[in-house]
Amino acid sequence: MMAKEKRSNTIIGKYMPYYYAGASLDFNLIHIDQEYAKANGLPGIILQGMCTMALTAKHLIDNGNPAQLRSIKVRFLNPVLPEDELIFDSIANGPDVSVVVKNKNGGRVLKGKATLK
Amino acid sequence: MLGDNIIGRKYESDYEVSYEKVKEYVRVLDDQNPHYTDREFVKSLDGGHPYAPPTFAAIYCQPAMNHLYFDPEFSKLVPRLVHGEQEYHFHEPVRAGDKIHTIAVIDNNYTKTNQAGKVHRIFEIKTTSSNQDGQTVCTGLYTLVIRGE
Repeated sequence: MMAKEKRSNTIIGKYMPYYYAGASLDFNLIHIDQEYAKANGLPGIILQGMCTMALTAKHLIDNGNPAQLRSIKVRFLNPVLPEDELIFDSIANGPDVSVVVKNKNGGRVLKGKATLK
Repeated sequence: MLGDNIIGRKYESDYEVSYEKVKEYVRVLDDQNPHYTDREFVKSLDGGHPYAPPTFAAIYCQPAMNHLYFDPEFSKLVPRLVHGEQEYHFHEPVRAGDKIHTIAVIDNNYTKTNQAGKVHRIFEIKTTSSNQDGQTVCTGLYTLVIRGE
């Protein structure tokens, strides 16, 4: 079977961690308070990993039926900051998909595997 | 070690999935998949209510996870907490109107030394979510990293 490759990209909005915090109720201060984030060893507020994962699932499902996504497992490799541009690359071999998300300003931010049926 | 005594601790929550909340969530992600937002489209497809995106699991699990984050034994670790890994297995699809019960259990706690010699503490949290009919909708594994000083 031919492997199917797919690429998409997304620019993380300046206020996305705030919007995602509101939608998800994840108000951990490292996502919404610059000083707090810096005091805890981060370069600034960072995007919720769950948001990067949600964008990864969006890349995989596209406009298809969401029930086709059976599982997803990701590792968060590096923080994503507001205004970063992310590039999503996935390769499907039948139902098994591997996915990597790269930051245009640096290296990989997420790698993972998913099953789509 | 701090936190050892909370292995096996269990946190539960109930969450009712609303169409409006799903629309709010997908708007943040700029996800225009009609399965989430177009009632008529989904009705014509299978007669049911709009779907929630699979990763909406993060939303309906969050109240149970918040019980963990605000647990006095755990909350002091939260300032140095980052999300290391996340795994979800999806079973019955979740749709607007579903009532989801989630149980989160602290399953494992260990340390890991990184290349710079910093000792990170890892917590693994298992979640099991089921709907109003008792069907499992999602099982999850949250790998939470407490960064070493």
